[in-house]
Amino acid sequence: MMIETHQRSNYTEAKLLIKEANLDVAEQFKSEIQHLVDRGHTHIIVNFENVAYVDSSFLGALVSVLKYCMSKKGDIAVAGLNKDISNLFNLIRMNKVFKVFNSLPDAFA
Amino acid sequence: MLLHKNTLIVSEDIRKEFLFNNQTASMGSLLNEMTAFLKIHLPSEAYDDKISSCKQIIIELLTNAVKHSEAENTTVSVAIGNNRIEISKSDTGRKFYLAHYSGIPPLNLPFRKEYVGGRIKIYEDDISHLYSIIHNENRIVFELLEYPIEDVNVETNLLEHYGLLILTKLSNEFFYTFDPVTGSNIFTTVVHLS
Repeated sequence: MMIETHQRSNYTEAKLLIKEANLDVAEQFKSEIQHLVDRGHTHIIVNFENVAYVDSSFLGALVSVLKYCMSKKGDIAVAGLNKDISNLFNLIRMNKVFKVFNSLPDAFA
Repeated sequence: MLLHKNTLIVSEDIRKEFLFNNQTASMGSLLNEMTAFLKIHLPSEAYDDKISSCKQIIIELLTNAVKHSEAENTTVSVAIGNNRIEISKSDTGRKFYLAHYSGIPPLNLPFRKEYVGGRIKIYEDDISHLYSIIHNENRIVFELLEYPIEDVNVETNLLEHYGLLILTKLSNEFFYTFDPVTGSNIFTTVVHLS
């Protein structure tokens, strides 16, 4: 498992246990999140606090699971982005595609 | 090296080559090594954002090498000077290709002269279109068009391939060159320092 899940108020935290979010782990991430959604966890915040960098393959996987989750009437947000990842999200406008939280919120509407 | 009004002045180009074995397990350590090299030569905090951009450029070039080059090794070079950072990757593997493209102009390098100036759509979704422009017989430059993002919902068409888009967006210049003499494929990114 590359994610650790915690049930929060009205959402599931999916905490990434990896440092390098790259093409080596993108498919596994997709599979684990899809499994989570299939078990009814449709509102998920992916916690990146352990992650040093993200590559385009992982970003593609993140967008893929967002689309999957939205098809189940859910949503995926991200939290705990470091400065470099946050810069990347802003630059390629992923901050308009995903809700971005600095830290885990009390609730995810 | 002098820093004057956000302009980097170097007496001569600073340049270093790094060898990548095209294994993802090596990406993290090589990224750290290359970032350290940039920080040594661009120590001012004024360059933090530029170094952040360069880190992501390096990540995407290495990812591209693993996914697409079909080569055993890749050389990644960093050059700093003339108020810019140039990062390029070179290999002798597969030429630039698009998996599902079969249109006109054909993506066969070297290009025929009649296709110079032509444009090839690489991919598109509801928020951006990425093109390659045929600059000359052996070079294409990448161009990104972005559209406003309204509400993102289940109907929104979003692509899942971001490598070339990220490289285009992070660079002031981004192009691919095929060297027919050596058979080398060279992706070059240029980041202006001011």
